Amino acid sequence: MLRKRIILCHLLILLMVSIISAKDVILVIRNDGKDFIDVLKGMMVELREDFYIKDKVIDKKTDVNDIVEEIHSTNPKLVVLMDNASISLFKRYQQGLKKNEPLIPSVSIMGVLVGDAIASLKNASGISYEIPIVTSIVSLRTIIKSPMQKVGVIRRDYLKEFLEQNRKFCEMEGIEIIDIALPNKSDKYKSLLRNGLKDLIEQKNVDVLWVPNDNEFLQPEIIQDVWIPTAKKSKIPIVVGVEVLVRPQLDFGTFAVLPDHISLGSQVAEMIYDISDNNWMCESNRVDPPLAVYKIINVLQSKRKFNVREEDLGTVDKKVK
Amino acid sequence: MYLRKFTGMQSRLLFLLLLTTSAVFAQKNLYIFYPSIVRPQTIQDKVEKVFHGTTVTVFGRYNDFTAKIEIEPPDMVITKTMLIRQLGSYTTVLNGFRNGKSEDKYVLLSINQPVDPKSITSETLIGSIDILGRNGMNTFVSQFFPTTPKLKRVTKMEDLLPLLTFNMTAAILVQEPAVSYFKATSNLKFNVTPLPPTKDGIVALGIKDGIDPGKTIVALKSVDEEIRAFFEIDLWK
Repeated sequence: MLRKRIILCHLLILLMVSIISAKDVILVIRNDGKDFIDVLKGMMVELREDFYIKDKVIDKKTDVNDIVEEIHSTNPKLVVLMDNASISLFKRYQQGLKKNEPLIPSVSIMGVLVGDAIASLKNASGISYEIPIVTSIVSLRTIIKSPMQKVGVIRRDYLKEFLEQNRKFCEMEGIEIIDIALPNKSDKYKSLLRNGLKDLIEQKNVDVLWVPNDNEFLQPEIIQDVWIPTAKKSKIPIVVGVEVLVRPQLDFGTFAVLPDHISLGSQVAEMIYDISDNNWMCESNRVDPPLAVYKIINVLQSKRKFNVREEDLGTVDKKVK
Repeated sequence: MYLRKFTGMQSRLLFLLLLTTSAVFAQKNLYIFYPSIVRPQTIQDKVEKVFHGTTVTVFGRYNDFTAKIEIEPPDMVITKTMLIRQLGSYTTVLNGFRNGKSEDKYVLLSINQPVDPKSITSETLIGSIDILGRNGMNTFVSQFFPTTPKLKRVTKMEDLLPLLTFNMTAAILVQEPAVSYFKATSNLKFNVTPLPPTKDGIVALGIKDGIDPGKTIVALKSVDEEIRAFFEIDLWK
């Protein structure tokens, strides 16, 4: 009796394995964390009928041999690379391939400047993680009715290309970007930022400030000594890319625009279907902008400074009070 | 000490009484999914005040809506008419009307150049909000064109705008009332190309087979303009 049950169990397992293996495999290489899991969820809902998703969580100890092993054992049709660490590992895997070995297509997401990161990858595509300035300003313009024709940006040199791409799209919406470039390395960011902000607000009369997600500019000391005093003095809205910066206690950011991770997962799924329709070939290193965003508003500041009414907030995802 | 054992007959009667009471007082469940720029929570806050004795849940994404229905099917749904049909186990009992018509009108929205629907090929990229899933949307969209174009589905209404801004699609397919939202939100030069009328309804109330809609129909018929505006209609009939 027990023997029969064991055989039945084995058969069931075999059946399940064959069902699973009948579907093409998409391998996801990612770090641990809620945002990565949300993207995975968004992807799985879209892809589960047609693909089997294999999730490989990496950490600091993961090396290229682990990736080689994973690829050999799962034989994926496509690899999704979440963040720069996964992209680097896959790059090293691809560099180690022999001439006649197939190039598995990849979709890279959630990395810093994904376009640059995948430039040397073959059969690669991606979705950038930085929210386009035009998306953020157009969103804010629907809530705050004051003019938003001139956007002030202070950024480091490395963001030049990102900014130039954004300038073109902003122009289409009647928005001018006025930027100040700072060197990639400096020990005087505090004074450089203070002077730059003064110039943008008092001399160049920008209507809104857009703050890049740059760790150098968002050190606690700089936030405390430069950004917060500037925000308190100025009468213009400040757009940030991190939720914590719109906390009313800080009185800094007015509006935060973040990636919507579940929708990002759906966008990845769409890209995977496109690549599958194209015989598993990526369009030469195409990088799309993220389409969906998650909007958070500092309600106290927006009501106090910009006369925003409760009924103007219907399109906002989160209202921080 | 005061407890005494029930006889078999008494137990059965008590069970029947409990069953009847719970059926009478049970909260009905209503799920709502309608593509809108207004956030689900905002719609839910307004709508649940109208439907007393009904638990209302509003969804912003097609996938969330259908996933929840699979796990916990509600008694009633308010959504696009063709989605009610796709769900299968719900019957349309009330339709939303706009300017005296319950059928939806769709347009192609493009920038700078108008897009001729007859020129659409299987390689043309068209953006659309996802209201029926991948296969359902392909079937739905194909009614407007000589062939099924390549669809770029997005989860939220406002996500369609970047498709035009970043030149990712030739046009976006939207319901006619959405045009005013795009024109009010963006300074892009839009071209509007009307598409042939569809037989699909704008929005409807669907009731699960065997469920009594109770007061829901009366409540829905008397909702105010603000709630009707969420569904881009002026009348429930």
